[in-house]
Amino acid sequence: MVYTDSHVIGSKRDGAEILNDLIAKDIEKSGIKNGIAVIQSCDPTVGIVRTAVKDTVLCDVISEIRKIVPARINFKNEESPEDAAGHIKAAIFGQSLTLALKDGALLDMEGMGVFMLDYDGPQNRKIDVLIMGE
Amino acid sequence: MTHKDYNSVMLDQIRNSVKDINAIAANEPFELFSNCVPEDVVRNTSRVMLTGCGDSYCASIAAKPVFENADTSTKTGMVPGTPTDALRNIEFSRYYNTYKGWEPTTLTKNLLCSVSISGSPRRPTEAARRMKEIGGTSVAFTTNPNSELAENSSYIIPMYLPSYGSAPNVTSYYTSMFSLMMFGFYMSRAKGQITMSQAEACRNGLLAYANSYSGSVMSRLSEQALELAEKWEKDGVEVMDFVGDGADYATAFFGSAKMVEAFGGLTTNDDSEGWCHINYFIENVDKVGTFIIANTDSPSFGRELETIRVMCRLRSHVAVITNGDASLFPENAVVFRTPEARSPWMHVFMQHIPMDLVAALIAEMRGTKPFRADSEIHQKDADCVRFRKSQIEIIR
Amino acid sequence: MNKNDFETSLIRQARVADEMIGIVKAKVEAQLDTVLPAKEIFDAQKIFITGCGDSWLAGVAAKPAFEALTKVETNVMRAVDFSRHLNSKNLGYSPNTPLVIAISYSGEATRAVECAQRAAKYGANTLAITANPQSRLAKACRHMINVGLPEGGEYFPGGTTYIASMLSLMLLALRIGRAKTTISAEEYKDMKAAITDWSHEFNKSLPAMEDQCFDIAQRWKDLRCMDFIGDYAEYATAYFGSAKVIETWGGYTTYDDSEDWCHINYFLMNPETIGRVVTTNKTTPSFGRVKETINAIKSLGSPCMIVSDADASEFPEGMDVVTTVSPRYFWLNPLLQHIPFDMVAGYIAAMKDGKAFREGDPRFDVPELNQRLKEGTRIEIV
Repeated sequence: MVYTDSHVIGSKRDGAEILNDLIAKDIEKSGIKNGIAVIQSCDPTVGIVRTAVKDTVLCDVISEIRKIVPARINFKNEESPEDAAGHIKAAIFGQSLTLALKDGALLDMEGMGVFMLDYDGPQNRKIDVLIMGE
Repeated sequence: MTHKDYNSVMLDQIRNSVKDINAIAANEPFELFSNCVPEDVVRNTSRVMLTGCGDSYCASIAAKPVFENADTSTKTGMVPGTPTDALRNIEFSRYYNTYKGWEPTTLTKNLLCSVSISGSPRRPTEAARRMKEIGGTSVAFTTNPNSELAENSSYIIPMYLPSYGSAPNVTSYYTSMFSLMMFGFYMSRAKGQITMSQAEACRNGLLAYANSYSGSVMSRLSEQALELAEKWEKDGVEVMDFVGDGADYATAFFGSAKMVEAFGGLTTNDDSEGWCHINYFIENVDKVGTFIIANTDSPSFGRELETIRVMCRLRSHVAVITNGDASLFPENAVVFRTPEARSPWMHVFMQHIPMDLVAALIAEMRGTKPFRADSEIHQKDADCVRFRKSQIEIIR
Repeated sequence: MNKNDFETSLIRQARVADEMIGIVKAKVEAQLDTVLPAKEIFDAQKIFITGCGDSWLAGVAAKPAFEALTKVETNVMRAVDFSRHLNSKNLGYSPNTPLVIAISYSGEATRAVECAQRAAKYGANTLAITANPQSRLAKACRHMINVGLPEGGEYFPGGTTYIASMLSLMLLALRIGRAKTTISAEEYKDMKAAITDWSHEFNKSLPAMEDQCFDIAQRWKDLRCMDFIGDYAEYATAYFGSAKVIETWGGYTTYDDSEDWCHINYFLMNPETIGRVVTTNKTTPSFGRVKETINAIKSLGSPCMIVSDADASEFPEGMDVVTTVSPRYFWLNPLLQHIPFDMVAGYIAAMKDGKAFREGDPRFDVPELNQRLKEGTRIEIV
């Protein structure tokens, strides 16, 4: 059985939007208990990551990603430095996650979160969820 | 009739120009400015905003070059002063940095100079209050230290004004320009951009220029103004067009305002380039009287000369106010030649006189009262509620 | 009187404004990403916009867009003041600073060329907004936006060209804001969409606006003078309206802001013979002041036309209020709010049989007048 849904999520500049509740609702609506869930963004400057739900950790993740790929003015893509860097960050750090689903919930998620990182926010972003299993 | 046969409060002001300017200068020595606004305030100023309504806005445009380019009293001796904006009062009060936002780090280095002779119109007060509420500094240039403007400003320059009855103001324009210009030199001196001796030389140079409008010069200009006024009245001139570039735009704008105030005449204004694109096309070429200010030491004199040639080819009533010789201009132009000034920024101080004279003389010829005192409909607001009771709104 | 018998160029230009905005927007948007390298956008600590006549006014009208979207200090200067009177220490004091934007639709207005050459001489960065890539202005500038109006269109007196220049400036402001992240990518997209959304909406109101303006023109055609009032960007709309009266039929006009009007033009003689024309909008910071000024106009008994996105009930009875659709972003208003003025000027011109730019009038057609514009006036770099 396959279930899909899309969501529009507003982001903040340098913000991380937690998707746990949204995914949980989709799992419940799908009626699927065991299988996999794919969470994906199609916007080329958005990343999807899984990490600890802790402000300091999130802050480190965001600032280290920014340090690894800083916005600068000499990218070939000149739309804006944030946009150009955003494309690279998304390409390096990924735009989707595939997570295990067991007994109607994502596996081993205690203290963990699935986050949407907008590298060129604030914007409204589309997030796709696909759940596959039985 | 000669010009002496005409008399009015406005003409009295013009005729007393030299005497009054000397009196203003005597009452406003350099110490006045340093006594009123501490040196560290002006020394730390990195941007000046000059503002006011009507004549006070003109005075702001006129004084801007003095703030921006401190003068060492030689024609080539300009040194950088302080970046300065001359702003329409409504522009400062409601729009200045409204969309862009103020730079918090430099706000304290911005100095507002809000000019109002009486201090009673609400808009200059609104400007001062806006500055106060966003945490900046303002100086009130007013003759009334107890006015609402003065009360809402950080510092006050109490300007001196010889008193006259109600008439379109000329003397107060000298007061505003002189006070602003001297404050500009005080600022440049405090910053070490010019020496005290240079500041004094600038002040003395300006006064020497004003004094050169002696009896004979004034008499010549008055005769010329009368001849022009008579001819333009006889020919049925319906509208007057005023042209000036840079600081000379202040002279053009001021001249235009005096025609409106003195006899309610229609006027318009532009610079020498803009005129070629727009006002050139006014249809009734024989019914337009044109004044243009064109000084030989203006950086746009070449352009002004081109424009004057076009004007004189097209229109039959063109008057040029200049320090140059009449032979520089087409024969059909009426040339008001004014005395030489030691530095270009000085012209604006006195060159409005020919236009003031024309305004005052036409008013007398027509028998109109200033500020439409003879018009019932205008007198419905004789107390100037429209600007004295205007609502103050502070835009952050 | 039948409205259709009094059609002039400005009326026809108003009818195609929506289509032209679509064309110019597409063409300019295609150039935006490459017109200014990001490095030079970040280098520009200050912006100057200059031009002659309508081009200068396009700058005045677009100033709020630059201030709100780029957060860079923006000065709009008359061409002769920029090229001859501005102290050169304002130019080139740091690499690629300031950015000087010179506007001329033909690219041949000599004073605009002079501004660009002077700016370049002192080391400023220069960008031309023109329809002619081979023009002297384009050649004098390091960068260029080609406004890209279709060839052979009806563009004079300038209504469409004014829109094209202003729209190019607004899109450039959006581009700079996007690059500097003073506006978000979302806002960038929405603001660009808002331009055409508003233009379509405005277009729908044109037939009723034409009827209203035709009615005003019939009542106003014999007035002695038209007195235009507006503040800041709306000053550009007022000034532009005044210029169109002069260009189309050579009438007498005057103009001022809402405050200074109370000090000066209030005193014009015979106020009943003067048409007062006011532009103001409900979001403008001086809306309250302008309403006070309109009350003063009312007390004088002058005929008064108001163009505003505010409801007519905001103003005293008996005024001709042309209500325009509100755009999503306030800074768009000047792009189209001059159209009612264009229409009134255009209709009066037709009623008076006035020829635009005094065409065919021998008084205005003599060789000695060639010092007025273009090649006839000499370039001097101060």
